[in-house]
Amino acid sequence: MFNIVERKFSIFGNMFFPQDLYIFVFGTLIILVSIVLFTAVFGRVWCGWTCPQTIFMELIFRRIEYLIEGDWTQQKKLNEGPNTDARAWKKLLKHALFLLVSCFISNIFLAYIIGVDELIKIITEPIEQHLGGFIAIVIFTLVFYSVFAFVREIVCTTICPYGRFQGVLLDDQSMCVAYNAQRGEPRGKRSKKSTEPKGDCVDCGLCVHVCPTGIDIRNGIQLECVNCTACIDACDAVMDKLGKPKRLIGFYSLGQVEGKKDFKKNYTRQNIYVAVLLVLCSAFLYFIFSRAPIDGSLLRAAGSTYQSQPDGRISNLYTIEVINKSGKAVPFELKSADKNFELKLVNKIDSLPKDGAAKLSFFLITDKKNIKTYKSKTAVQIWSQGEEVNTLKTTFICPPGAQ
Amino acid sequence: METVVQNSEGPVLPSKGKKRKWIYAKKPSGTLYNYRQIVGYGLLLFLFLVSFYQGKWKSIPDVQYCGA
Repeated sequence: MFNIVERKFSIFGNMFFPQDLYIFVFGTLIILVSIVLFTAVFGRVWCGWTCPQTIFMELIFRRIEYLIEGDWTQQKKLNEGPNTDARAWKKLLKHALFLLVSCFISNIFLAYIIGVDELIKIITEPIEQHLGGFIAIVIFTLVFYSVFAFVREIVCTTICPYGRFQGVLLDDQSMCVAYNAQRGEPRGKRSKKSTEPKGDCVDCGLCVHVCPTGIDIRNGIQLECVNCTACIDACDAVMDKLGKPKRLIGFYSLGQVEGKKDFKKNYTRQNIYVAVLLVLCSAFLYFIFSRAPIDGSLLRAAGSTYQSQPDGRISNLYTIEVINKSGKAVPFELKSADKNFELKLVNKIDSLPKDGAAKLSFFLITDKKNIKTYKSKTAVQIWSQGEEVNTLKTTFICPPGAQ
Repeated sequence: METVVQNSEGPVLPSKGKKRKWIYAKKPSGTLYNYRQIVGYGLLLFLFLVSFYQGKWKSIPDVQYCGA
């Protein structure tokens, strides 16, 4: 759950705070390398099979369209035909359903951002109490509706940067949806009279008709292809009827399709990516498991210098904010790491609730004879249950020879 | 023969003057489409169910400051 508004992050039951940003950096790097690795090996399978845009478009919105307006030829006829009442009703029903589904999707997405409880409040309580939330839902709904009702494949072919990256991510080893031109060409309808040798492609055009981005896969690998594999299914059905082997269009690497004689499968790039990914994952896991159960930020009290104590010793005032990341209530204690410094708490707090935090003020006190420089380096330790869990560095200021 | 570049005409975008051609996609069917439906609807279900997951979510308190 990513509650961005309140800056609370819970990933698989572990609480993360904005202070854990360095872990987040490794997390995003892992995602990035995974994308690169995945694309280098499997091509754009993500686009056609798991991308939310494709799933919503092909499995929800287009299905509604097929249900109301019929298959592609009927849709075409309806749009190009006369403006009748039946057409108006169909369009009204379709767009109403599109809006409804878009509203539902925007609610789901909002639940991820603000949490389901807050979302239910927005839905059930009067609008004026949650005007911001209501406007957000309306905007999200309209965006989703316009994307799925009108923009459609332009998102994949023009807007989405991932498709543009494929030029650099794919190489002749990557698996792609491709047409086996060597087997298919010369394409053409079969006739008993003709004795010309023909390839397996009968030029039925089904692969073009099923394509949600409107390309002809036989022209080679194209930026618009999202690897949805609809053309493979369509072509396989035809090949089946003709009694020919399947996969005239299938998963091929570019090297195979181009028919390079010296083409050999080579996994060097993939192996390097895997190595990088392993290093990143190890660092990520190390940071997660080595996260101090009690974290803190230590500062000398704002605007303060040194103080002389009644007994003649010198003190500096500090504030510390401690955050409990252990996932349970814990006792804790602050100690000075340097034996020459005594730590005296101003407000005594010795335990933290689960996921709780506390602000403490304390003095570090030392004898004048221990002061050698204006700024002495020192540290404060956080102890919990007889164990040192964190050490925070700071400086102690006092000019040598101060009165 | 040298290619003649006519810069005076200004840049010509490939999409210039082209009206968008609405794509009518034929309803797909087949083995891979079936697999795709399983993957797609599975992910949709996951997306939907996880949005209701509050086991840990509810227990995330506002950061509590203890003491004065």
